[in-house]
Amino acid sequence: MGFFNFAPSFRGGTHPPGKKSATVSRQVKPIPLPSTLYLPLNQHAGAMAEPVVKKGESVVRGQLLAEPAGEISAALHSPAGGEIKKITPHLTPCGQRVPTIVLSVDPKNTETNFYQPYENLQKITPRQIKERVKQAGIVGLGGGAFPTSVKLSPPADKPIHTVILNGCECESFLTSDHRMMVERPDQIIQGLQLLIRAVEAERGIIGVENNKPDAIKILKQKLANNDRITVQAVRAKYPQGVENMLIYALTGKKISAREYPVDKGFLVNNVSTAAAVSEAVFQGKPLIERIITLSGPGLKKPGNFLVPLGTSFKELISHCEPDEDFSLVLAGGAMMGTSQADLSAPTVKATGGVVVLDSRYLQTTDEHPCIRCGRCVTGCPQQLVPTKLTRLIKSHRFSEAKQLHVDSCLECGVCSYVCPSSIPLVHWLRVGKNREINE
Amino acid sequence: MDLTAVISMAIMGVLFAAGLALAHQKLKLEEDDRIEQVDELLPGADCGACGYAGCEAMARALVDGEVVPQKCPVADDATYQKIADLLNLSSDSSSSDLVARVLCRGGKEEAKQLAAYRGINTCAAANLVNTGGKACTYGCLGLADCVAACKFDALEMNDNGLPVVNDDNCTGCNACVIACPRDIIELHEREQKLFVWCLSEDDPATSRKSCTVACIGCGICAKLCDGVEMKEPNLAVVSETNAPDCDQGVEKCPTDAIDYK
Repeated sequence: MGFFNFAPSFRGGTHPPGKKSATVSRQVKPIPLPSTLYLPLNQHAGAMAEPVVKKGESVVRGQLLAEPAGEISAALHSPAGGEIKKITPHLTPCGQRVPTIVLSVDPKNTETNFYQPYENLQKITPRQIKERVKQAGIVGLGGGAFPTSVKLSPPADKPIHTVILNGCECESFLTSDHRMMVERPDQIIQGLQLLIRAVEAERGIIGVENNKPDAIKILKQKLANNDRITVQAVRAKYPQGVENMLIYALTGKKISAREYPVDKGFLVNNVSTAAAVSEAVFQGKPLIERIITLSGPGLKKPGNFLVPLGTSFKELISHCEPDEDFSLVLAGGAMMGTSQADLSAPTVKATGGVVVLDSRYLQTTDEHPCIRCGRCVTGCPQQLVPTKLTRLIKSHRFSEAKQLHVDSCLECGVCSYVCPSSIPLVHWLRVGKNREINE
Repeated sequence: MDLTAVISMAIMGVLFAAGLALAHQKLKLEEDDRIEQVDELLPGADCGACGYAGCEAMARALVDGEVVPQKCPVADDATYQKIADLLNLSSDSSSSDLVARVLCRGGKEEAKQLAAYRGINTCAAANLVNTGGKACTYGCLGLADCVAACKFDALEMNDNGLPVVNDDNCTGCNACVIACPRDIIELHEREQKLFVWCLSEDDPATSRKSCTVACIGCGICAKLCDGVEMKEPNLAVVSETNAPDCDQGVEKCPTDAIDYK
C-alpha cells in the first residue's frame, strides 16, 4: 500500500484508525470453558428458535437445543456438555431480555454429538449442503446473523452467478477474520467451494482489504491452480465490508438501497461463515463456537480467542487482565459496536469482538452547530444527507425523513465520525429509523 | 419638465388597479365564514391529536360535516356545545374524559441503574442504546420526551426523575403517549383511581433485582380485588375502569406496585 492507493473501492467512507496492531499477530487460542453458558434463543435474524430441551435435562456437546421456528430462523446447539439449569429471560448484547437457555457446564461430560461428516466434496449434492447448513444453525458471522441457509436458497428466477467472501474486516480493533484467513485458509477455501456448489454459481471471489497483505498472499498461494476462485485486494476503507460496497468494489456492479445482492446474482458471506460451513460439512460440527477479538486500551492482554457461544462478557474480559478503570465495553468494533450496560450479556453468534475502552473515551465533546461542511454527505456510503435528516428528525418531521430514505441508513457511523462539530448524527438517524409512523 | 414618465406610470397604475379590482370580483373565493368562527372556538394549540394538521384543518372538516366536535380530545364540553350550536349539530354524543397515566414508579430511588447513559438527551435516543442504562427494560428512562411533547403544561419531571401528570391541565390529547418510546403512558378515565403502576413482564427474580416497586406477578391483588387480573404471567393489571377500591390488595402487595393515584 503506497501513497497512491489504486485498489478498487466504493464512493464515500472514511479511515478510522485501525488499532489492529495489538492483536493482529496473536494466534487464536481457545478460552477455557466457563461454568455457565447463556444461550439466547434469538441469536439470528428472524423468528426466535424453539427449545427442544427441558429444565434439568442433561445434554452433550453439539446436541440440538432449539430448532428453527419458521422460514427465517436458525437452530441452536449446545457448546458443551452439562445440564439445562433453566430457560429464562436474560440480557443479550442488544440490551433486550429474551428467553435464554442457561446451561450449567459439566467439565467431565466430554461426549460429543456431531452430525455425520461428509468426506468428498465432489460427491455432495447442493441439497445436502443446504440441508447441513440449516441443521448446523449457521448464520452470517460478520455481524448480521442472517440465517445462511435462507441465503443459499434464492428465488428460482434469481440464479446466483458469483459467490463473494468478505475478508475486509474494516472495523477498528477487530482481527478475528484476519487471523482466520492466515490460520485456516484451507477451511475458508473449502467453505467457498461448498457455497459455490450449493448455489451452482460460476465463480467465487475473496475480497480482502489491502492492509492484510499476509492474508492475501497465503490465499493467493493456495488458489494458484484454481481458475474459478480469485482473491482480490480492495482498498482499506470503512465500511468496505458492507455487502453492497464490496460488490461494487470487486465487480463494479451497483446494488441500489432497495435491492439485495441476490437481485443481481450475488451471494456474499463472511470468511468465518465459509469456515463454519466447511466445519459443518466435513466435520459435522454445528455452530457452537466462534473466533472473536478481545481488544482495546482497557485490556492488558488482548488477543484472538476461540470462544464457546454463551460465554458472558465478564468471563471473556477476565481472561485478558482488564484495567481497573475500564469503563466502556462494546460488543463489536469501535464504529458499530453496541455499548453494554451489564457484562452478564453473553457472546452470541453475531459477536465478532469485544472492545474494552478506558475512561479517556468517556469524555464527550460538546456538540456544536452544523457548519455545513458536507463531510457527512460525502462520507455516507449510502449517499444520504445525514445533516438534513438530523435536522428533520430533531424537529419530529419523521415522515419527511422517511421520504429522504432514512431507512436506508446502515448505521455505519461514518457521519458521526467525520463531523467536525461532534454532532451525533448516526444516533439521530437511528432515532428516525426506529420511529414508527402511523399513516 | 418631461411628464412622459409620470403620466405613463399613472396610466399603468390605473390599469393594474382596474385589473386587480376586476380579478377580485371575478375570481372571488367563496369561503364559509363559519370556518373562522369554529377555528376560534377550538383550543388553538394545533396539537394534531384529532388527526388533522391543526385546528384550522379540523375546523374545515367540522364545517364540511366530516367529523363530530368530540373528535377534538382537548376541548371541553362547553366548547363542543358551542360548536354544535353554531353548526346546528345534535350534541348528544358525550365525550369520554381521558387523562394520561404514567405506569411506572421506578424513579432514581427505586430502579437500579446499570450504567450511565451519555448521549443525545432524549428518551427516544437512550432507548436505542442497550438497556438505556436502567436494569429494567420496561421502565421510564426519565429524559422527559413526554414533557417536551405536552402542549398543555400537564407534565413535569419530579426530583425522582419521573414525569408527573397535572390532571387539571391534561386534555388527553395523546401526544405524550406517542412520544414515549417505552409505551408506559396510557390514557385512562379520569375517575379511575386504582392502578398497577408497572408494566414489566420480567420474571419475578429479575424484576426484584431491577426495581423495588416492580410488579412481580405474585397474583395476590388479582385474587383479592374485583377488576384486577393477570395480564401476563408476571404482570397484573387493573382491567376495569370502575374497579372498586381494594384496600386489602393495596396493603398486601409486596412491592407496592398496586396503589391508588
